[in-house]
Amino acid sequence: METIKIALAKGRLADLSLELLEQIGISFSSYYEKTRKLTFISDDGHYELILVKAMDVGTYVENGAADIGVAGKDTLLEAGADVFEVIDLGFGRCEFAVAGEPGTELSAQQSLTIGTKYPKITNDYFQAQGRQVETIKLNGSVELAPLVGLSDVIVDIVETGSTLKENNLEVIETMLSISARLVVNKASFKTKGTAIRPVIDQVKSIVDEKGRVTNGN
Amino acid sequence: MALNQPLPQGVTDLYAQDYELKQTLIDRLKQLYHVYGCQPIQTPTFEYYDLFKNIPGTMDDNQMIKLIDRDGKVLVLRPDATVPIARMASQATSDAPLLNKMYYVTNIFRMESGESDRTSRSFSQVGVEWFDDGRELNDLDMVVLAIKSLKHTGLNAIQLELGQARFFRALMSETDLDAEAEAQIQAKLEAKNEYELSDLLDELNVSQTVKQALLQLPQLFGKPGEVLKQATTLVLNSEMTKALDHLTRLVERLDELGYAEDVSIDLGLVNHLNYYTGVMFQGYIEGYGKPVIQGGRYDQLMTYFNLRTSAIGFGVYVDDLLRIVKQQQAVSLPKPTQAVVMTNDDTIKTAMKLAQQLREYNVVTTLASDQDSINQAELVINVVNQMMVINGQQETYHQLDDVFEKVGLTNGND
Repeated sequence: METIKIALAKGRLADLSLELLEQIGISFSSYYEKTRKLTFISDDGHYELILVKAMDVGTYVENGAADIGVAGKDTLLEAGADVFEVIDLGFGRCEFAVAGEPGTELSAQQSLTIGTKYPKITNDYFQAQGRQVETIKLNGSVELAPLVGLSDVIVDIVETGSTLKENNLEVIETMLSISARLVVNKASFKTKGTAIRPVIDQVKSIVDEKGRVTNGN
Repeated sequence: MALNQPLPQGVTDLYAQDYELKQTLIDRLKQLYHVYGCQPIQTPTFEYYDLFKNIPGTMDDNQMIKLIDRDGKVLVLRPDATVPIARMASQATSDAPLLNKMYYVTNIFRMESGESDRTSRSFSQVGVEWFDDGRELNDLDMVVLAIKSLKHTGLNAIQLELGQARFFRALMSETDLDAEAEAQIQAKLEAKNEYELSDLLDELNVSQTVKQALLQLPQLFGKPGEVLKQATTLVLNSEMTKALDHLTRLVERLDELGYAEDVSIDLGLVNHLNYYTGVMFQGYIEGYGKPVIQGGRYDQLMTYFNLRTSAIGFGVYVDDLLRIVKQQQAVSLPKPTQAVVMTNDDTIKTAMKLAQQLREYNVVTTLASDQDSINQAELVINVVNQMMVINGQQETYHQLDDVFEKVGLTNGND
């Protein structure tokens, strides 16, 4: 049987995904040895795990470098990957929100400048409201932008809100909630269906059993 | 100062083996379409924007590359192969023999973001369009031709996936959703995103029966037998039954013809549904992440040109095919016999004559002027004393006949 390649984002999403895969009998013991390797073969030899940057999971899967992947909805939306998005895994749940200094009114600002790691999602969101905004693409420490006057507000992922609070910012508007998604390459799903579909079906039944909190988007 | 001129994003040069291989692939497809009775045709590289704008659902407006004409009219670089061909067919003069089955080799231009890739903004497509009478036999004929197109390029692990536009259409006729809502549903179906689809259908207040059927669609793909059986349980009206019956008959025929292994079904195939009206198909090659062939029946399009005819066609993405063929080394280029005829100033006449004779034997022959590495004495001694390089090996011949014998032996034997 041909090996199935699974792309996971380094970090917490990878750990949660591996936990899930173990429940359906796919384990990667070598992953837990302290190494700096980026690829691992499953214990049964049928699967290959590749570790990539969160933002790149969609790209790997879209281009068929990986057959399956787990990626946050945020990265899928931002990168606009053309993949099958077959399961909402329910973990890695958080909110996209507009945040700014307390009391900021979005409608009061005639021209709104927004600092964000996600310019595409930001633009799409405001465009859908018929509002033109200026985005400034940042790569980290987004909270700093309104404090030093780089932008009026920021758009970012909010999990607990504690980072915002520490920087004297607050959520002004929640945009959409996101979670981890299982994505599949469009061609692989067809050409390697016999190997991939059972994996999908098993993961799905586990996720469905746990119950899913519905979210808007 | 050296001029460093970068290429725009999304385009590329092609040369040497890559281009030769691409031409070989195109030649094979052309040969295939020729024996299927298709005529070669060509449409202009740019046309009026209005042509594409007025036909809903074929092209994303933002993806067209536009130019302004002298009179201020907007032109676009050919963003699609089929629409111009439909226009051409409708405008063909009446005394010209009826244009009905044709093939094209063309470049398509799109304003993709093309951040790093080389062919997203300008890519080659080879395809077939057939303005037919809508018979089922023709569906079969074209599906087989699509399969053959892929196999003809030396690739065997292929999968041609069939869908039926009428099935989804008939299902949607049970609702009274507007075009925008339908497009949203299509987008979720296209991504096989059941979870978000479910939420969306709740939001749109779609009835439970239709919702249940729609939620099944993403999984309705795979081996024809199983999928079609499962699909019959979703049928809500006679149109849906007809659509399934059509697919069933098509699959049975393909079975009989020995293509069972090459075809599968995906009833969740709903892209370009504003365009396709019957059977739809897309072809995949194992190990490559994108479809390389796409087509189907599009009876509606011709009505925009006041032409009452059915139509079916498909396009092959040659640049993708090239990438796969290179990866899998599926096609080896023919290696012609090559010869270099060496000469100095005194022997030019004989050398030219010899070169000409060799070329008549189909030997790829080039002339080279006297080089230091060549033993000059040998070249000048006698006009028929020939120093040649044949297929990389230097040999000396004293008789022209010997040369031809050598060439005749190796000619075309690779």
